[in-house]
Amino acid sequence: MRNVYIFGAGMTKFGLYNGIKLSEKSSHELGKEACLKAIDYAGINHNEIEGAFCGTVASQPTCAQMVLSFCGISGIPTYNHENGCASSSSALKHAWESVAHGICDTAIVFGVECWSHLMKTNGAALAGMASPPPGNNLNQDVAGAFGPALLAMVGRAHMDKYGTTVEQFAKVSVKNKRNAVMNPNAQFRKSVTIEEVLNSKMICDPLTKLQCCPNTDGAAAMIIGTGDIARKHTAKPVKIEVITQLSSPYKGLAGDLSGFKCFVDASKQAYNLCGIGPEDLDVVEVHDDFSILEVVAYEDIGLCNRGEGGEFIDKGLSDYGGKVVVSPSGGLLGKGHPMGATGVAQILELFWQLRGECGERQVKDARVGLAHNGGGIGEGFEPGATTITIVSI
Amino acid sequence: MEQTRIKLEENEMWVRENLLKLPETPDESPRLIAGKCESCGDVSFPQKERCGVCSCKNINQIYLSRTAKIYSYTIVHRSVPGYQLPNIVAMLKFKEDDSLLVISQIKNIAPEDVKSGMEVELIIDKLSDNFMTGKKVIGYAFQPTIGDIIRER
Ligand SMILES: [Zn+2]
Repeated sequence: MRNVYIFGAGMTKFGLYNGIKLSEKSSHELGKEACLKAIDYAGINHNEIEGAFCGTVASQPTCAQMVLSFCGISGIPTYNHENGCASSSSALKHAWESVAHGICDTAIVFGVECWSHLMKTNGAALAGMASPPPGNNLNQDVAGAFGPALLAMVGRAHMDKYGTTVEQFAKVSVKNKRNAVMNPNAQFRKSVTIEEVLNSKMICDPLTKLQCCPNTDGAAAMIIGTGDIARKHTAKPVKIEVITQLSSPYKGLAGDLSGFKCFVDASKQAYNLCGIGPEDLDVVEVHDDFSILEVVAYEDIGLCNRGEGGEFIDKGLSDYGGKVVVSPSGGLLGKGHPMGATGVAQILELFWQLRGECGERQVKDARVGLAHNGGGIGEGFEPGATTITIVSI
Repeated sequence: MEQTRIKLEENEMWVRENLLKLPETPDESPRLIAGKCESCGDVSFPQKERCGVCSCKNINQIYLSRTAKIYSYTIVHRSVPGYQLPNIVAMLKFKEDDSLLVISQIKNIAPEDVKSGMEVELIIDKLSDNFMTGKKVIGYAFQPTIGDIIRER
């Protein structure tokens, strides 16, 4: 296998592109903006790109082709991946494998979502609450329980088993929204107090509104390639150490909802494959679509022991000056969560952090980063798709 | 209460086939239909066609106990259209297999009275209004165990 590097990155500002907050744009226009930024950032010509890999959930069929048509890119292998909120990280795994195995030398990988208009039409107002047709989701059809309800039950299981508190969960929102203030691409750039978080509208007890990610539109893109190509364009390419992707294992942690076996397994596999461990990480982006998930993530990916996630945030160990900075971009809670774009956007933050380009939110001397991304619902009420990506410089 | 309703009205629909064993006599109670692996004993709900744990292809149909325990729960204040809010949603555990979690609405109790560990029993009830068809969606739900099962229809 060949080493693979990221050497171009671009994203749109995240927000609501439905004509109210930001100018109205289609998913294809958002994708175009991100892809052109990534191509220009890399300093390559668009016709040097040999493969295209797109992640999206609620776009028209062949979204990638529509986006790339704007960019003058056609006649190359092109794939659209749907894996819920882990769609574009799944696309990146496919692209990484393609470059690593010599199928192509340079690829564009991007995620696109412009779906806030759907939320307006079906009346649901939080990510993870779209109303798809009946299928194999008992949580949806029998219980009317979507993302926030499932995470709330994970949170309660964690509280019952380990004594974790609602204040500890709320602190995730305070930290990540504070980080988002420093990120010009973030949807929310306003810090909140723990009281504001706890007193905001109850969505699914104990999850309040400020602990739930917003509806977001946006796009994020990157250019990856072999070492030779990457170094031709930059002195500081970011190496993709490993990407693991799993469907959730049957029954998850066997009837224990206080953690996610999919993330435990995917991160263990990743650490074993690249020889990097949780103690080596400088910066981490986690899938904090709901505050509870970040606390559980600390434990799932081995930043702390089982049951110590609450203490980890209490002691500021996931903040600047702590053990490892988690979600410096603002995370999904602050930066926003355009489903298909989230996976790539998380890794772009790592890319910029490792290259020292993050301005006031820069993590000092960041050399190794991990992205934790999950999408949909699978076995054991865990995320149906889980992706762990480790990068280094 | 319409705990043992069986025949649906014209404006009603089952949430899904093959989830429920309906009572055939007044002495029977409704049960959830599960699968039990012939080799390893793993219990699946809804019933799987192949075992999720081992290589076994033979999954026998069983009925879960009518009562279960609340493992975790939430009070849903915001959801898609069609559900009555606040909606109490819980993950349940059955004595047949501790690794199995079953999700359900909890009916006939005030939200503030719900507790982890509480025993609940299966009922057949309205789950939601289907916003596409306008029909009432009927299926399984649970309520606090009230001892003798109400069977009048
Ligand atoms: Zn088996």
